[in-house]
Amino acid sequence: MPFFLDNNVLIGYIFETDNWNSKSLKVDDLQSFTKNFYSKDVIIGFLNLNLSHDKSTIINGLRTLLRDTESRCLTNFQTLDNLITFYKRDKSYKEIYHVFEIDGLAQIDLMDVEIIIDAHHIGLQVGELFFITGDYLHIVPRRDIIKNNTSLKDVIGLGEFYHGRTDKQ
Amino acid sequence: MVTKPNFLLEYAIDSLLKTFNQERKPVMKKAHFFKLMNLLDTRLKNQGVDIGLPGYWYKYGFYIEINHLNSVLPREFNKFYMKDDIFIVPALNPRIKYDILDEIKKKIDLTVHSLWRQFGLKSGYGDAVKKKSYEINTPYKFNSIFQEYIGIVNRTEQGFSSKKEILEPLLDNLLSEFPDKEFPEFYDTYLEWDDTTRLCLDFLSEKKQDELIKELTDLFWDTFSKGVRIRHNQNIPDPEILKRWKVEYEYEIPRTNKHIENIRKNLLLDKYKASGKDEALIKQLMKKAYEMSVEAN
Repeated sequence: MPFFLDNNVLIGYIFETDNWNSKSLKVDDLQSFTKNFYSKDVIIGFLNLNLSHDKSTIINGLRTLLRDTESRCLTNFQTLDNLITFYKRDKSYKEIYHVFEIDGLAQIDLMDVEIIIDAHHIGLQVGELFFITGDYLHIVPRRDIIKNNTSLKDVIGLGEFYHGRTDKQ
Repeated sequence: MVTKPNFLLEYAIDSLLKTFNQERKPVMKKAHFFKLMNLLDTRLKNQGVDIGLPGYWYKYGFYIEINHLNSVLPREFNKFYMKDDIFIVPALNPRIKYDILDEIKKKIDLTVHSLWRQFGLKSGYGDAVKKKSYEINTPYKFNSIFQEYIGIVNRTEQGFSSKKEILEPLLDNLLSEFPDKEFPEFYDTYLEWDDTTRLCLDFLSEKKQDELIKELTDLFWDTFSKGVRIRHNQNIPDPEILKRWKVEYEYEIPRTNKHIENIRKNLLLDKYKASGKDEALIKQLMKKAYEMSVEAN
């Protein structure tokens, strides 16, 4: 069964955002040290789990954490890269754009319309194409209008798709 | 006062070369001449004499382009002072009258003689001059440590210690000395270079390390040095040269970054063994990376 994956699905797979564990520990004195870091709660979490006073041990631990994260993202990217096919759309499909202009999506988020048209273009070529998306704000609520006006077989929210149809690690 | 053409500089060069090489032998290499001139220039400036020496800090210290000397001197440097394109020798027909105050001439000659007493005819004087030039004038301590780093990376003979044992403390020193405030545009690339080099040391055999670490060293040092010369130069004869350097540096940064990224990617995919620790933190960090990526776009 062929799937058209929305950007957020690809990025979500690479960065494993669905499994985000938001439990971060708060320590006041470390917060001042880490205030300039975007990922300060991660650093604080690391320091809480690795109670060493040795500078080089802490640095090496952080280094390993970064390398582990980066290598995981790269491996995930490589997995996707081997599975998916990239297309370049060469038609504008004005009639579909017009549908979403009337619907209002074109005014809210033009890129979403472009992605739907991308999926439609591929759907015409492969048939029975399912559009997988994590966008529950603009795309999933428009499931019917998309199904009725494009070549797509169905629109599946990533939550439903993830739990029911994949064996992602 | 520096004139155009610069007779003061010509006198300083003639005095130095005549003192260091009376018999006009092919003994002084270009690099050694550059460093000696850098020391002479500094010592004269301390006495209030500016000879208008053109030059800049580059990959291996203070550097002078022969073309720049040709532009500012009364006579073309490469025709009168160079032998076999390698050695710097005294001019065959030195000028008799320079039109320079005797007091200035005396200061120059005395300073040249003090340099001669310090370095002349001593074995390995080239290395000593370079060391002194770095000691007095290096734009950043980082550059001095990097010279040591390059020496070890290029060393072919095997010692008792592994490359990892020798290079890691140097990488630590470099990390604490990188001039991140002056080079914010290159800081991320530097950090990526640093950890990629450490990845080589951690996960490649000694035999495979050498080639890749050398490639990374050249890659980083070429581009960083292009940034250094923009910030640390003197008497460059044409402002267009500085503009060209800036364009070249800006062009090289993303290319260097991409090149290091590719090496790093291959190492992480093919050689790296994940620790298997701190799974929850890895997920958190991925989330942060995702958020940053979304914010940036």
